[in-house]
Amino acid sequence: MALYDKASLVLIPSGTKTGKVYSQKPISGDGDFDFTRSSYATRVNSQGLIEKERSNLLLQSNNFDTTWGYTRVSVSSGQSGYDGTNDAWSLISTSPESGAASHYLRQTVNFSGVHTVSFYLKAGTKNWSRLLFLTGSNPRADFDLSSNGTVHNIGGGAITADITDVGSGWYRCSITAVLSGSTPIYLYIAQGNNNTDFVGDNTAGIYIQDAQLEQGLVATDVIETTTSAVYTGITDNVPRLDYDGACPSLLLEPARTNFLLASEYFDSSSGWSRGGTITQTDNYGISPDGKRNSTRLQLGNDALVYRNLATPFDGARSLYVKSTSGSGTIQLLANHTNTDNIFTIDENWQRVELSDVQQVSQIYYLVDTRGGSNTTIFDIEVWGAQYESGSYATSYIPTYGTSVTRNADLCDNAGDSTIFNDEEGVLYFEAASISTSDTNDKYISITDGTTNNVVNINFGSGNLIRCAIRSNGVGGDNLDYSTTSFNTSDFVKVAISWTSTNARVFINGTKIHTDSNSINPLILNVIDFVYLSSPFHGKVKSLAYFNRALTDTELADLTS
Amino acid sequence: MRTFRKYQFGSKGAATTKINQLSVDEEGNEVEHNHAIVRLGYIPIVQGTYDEEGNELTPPVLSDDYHVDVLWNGEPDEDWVDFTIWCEPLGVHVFGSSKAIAEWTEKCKELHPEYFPEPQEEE
Repeated sequence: MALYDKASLVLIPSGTKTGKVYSQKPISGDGDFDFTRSSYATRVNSQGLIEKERSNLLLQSNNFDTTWGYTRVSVSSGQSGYDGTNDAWSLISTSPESGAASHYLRQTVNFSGVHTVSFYLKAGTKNWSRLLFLTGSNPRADFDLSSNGTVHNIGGGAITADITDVGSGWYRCSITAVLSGSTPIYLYIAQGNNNTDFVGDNTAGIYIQDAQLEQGLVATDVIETTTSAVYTGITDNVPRLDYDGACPSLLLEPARTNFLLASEYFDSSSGWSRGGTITQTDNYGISPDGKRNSTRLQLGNDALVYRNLATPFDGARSLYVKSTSGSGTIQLLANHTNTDNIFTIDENWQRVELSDVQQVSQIYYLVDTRGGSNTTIFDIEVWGAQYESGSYATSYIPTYGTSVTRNADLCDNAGDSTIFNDEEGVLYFEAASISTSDTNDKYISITDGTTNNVVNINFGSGNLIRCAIRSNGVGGDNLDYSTTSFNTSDFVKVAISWTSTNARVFINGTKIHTDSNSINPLILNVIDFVYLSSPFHGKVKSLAYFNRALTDTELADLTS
Repeated sequence: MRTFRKYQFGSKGAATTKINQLSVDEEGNEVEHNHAIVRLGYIPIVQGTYDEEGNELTPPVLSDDYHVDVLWNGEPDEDWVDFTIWCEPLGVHVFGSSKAIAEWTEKCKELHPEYFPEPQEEE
């Protein structure tokens, strides 16, 4: 019989839903874990791309006859769309009250920070359209929907605008800007380049479909909304299956805050400062999230991009970076007078990290080329800046105008008394600690819901692995074995096998400890990735519970 | 439903007392709460200025009050209402719960429309 068949509970992270991590066994669902995080987060998905929460913040995204405001326009549904449906709408100018005027559709939103609004548009009897945010200097852009499909007059503080040919005469048009407070979004039927006024006639117009407003520098796949905003992807309480190869692991992290107010847009309007010779191109290349939203920096040997932090602290700085061509060294994340921030980069994206910065200051340097020969490459792409408290960097926390806290992951409450045997058993765990510099205890445990009857594995400070059993409130005399011989930042396979008279510990295929006096816990009824308020933080590849002790050979196989 | 709110207290001690009370039930027993709390501290109300090397040019002006953000598991604790503050929604700290941020922003607009001036209609 295969070991899998002998197990009573098996978790190989692959199936999840909001608030739940599914176990493969038992199939009754009694072995499934509860999951909470209560904030959005990011993960590396199976394509190797960083996946975020996505949203459409506009209401009635493809129902233009409700919620939207109209000024000298009317709408009509049932038009042939870009996606082969008849879900598009015509947007038609109405007869004039007096002479030439503007004609537009609008919706007001209450969001702040870097946002992108997009519409699918097609020329009708008019070939031009304008998108505008009514805020600040009124960021805007004009779109030529004729066969060329071009953007004009990007202005009013707009970060960027884009038009993409999607076929059949349709274009996806978008504009990106920093919003603040209450902001009407306008879609015009336009007369021509930089000209929105004309005499409406109940026929002149364009075709529209699928409006979307979202955080960030680019428009992403369409999310349809009705009466409320819709959030998808890695949103609140969605467990993260993180990929660093073919197989995913369950990512469990502590709460962290990205103190940088704008992690993907590095302009002065988002609080970034600069000095020396710099040419910046937004939305230059494909970033680690798979979208064309990286920032190209062409630097002189006197260049720096930086931002002040409100409060100085010794935290973990990180940044995704690549060269546009070739490889070389460059000083990132801290001042050029440091020596611990010289990174070698090439044409592949990498995340560079810096903790315990030699010179702690309230300044996060995106780049600083003033260190002479320390920098040999001056044309780079950057994305995803992060500055968090703690001795190591955690997964990326995107920010678009505010500092953001990602709450802690908690995975617990699997199993019941029917799964566990009170006489003997095996707890198996394959995982990597979030960082060997993390000084907190990080537990996986089976208990009776108290601290009286416990089997647990703790990935502690440094490379500590501690395996323990408590029976009827008694520890110490029972199994309590610690080792620091394994690198816990790599995946480690640990198994504790116990009976009424002894316990054995196997790690990575080898029996490393036997306690011939340890006795079994009297009652066990729940598995948690936490014990004594110390949750496990790291990556989990598998977890299993067997309701009887295994042989040495089986345990060696299991942990090999 | 999680609810995001911002608070200010007269001192760090006053904030700590209030936070600690969340871990005690009406009978004085210790309880675990699952609200998320971030201590922002004495936040700068006027940012300091610094040169490119990080040398301070003008010092920041810090708030006299101690600031705390809470993501409540449910509705906010009624005992905290008197310490609630509202502010413009840009350049501040938030928890990464989009629904909670949206609710907080709508509530902020309802109570303090001055933070959300309606722009002039574009004609």
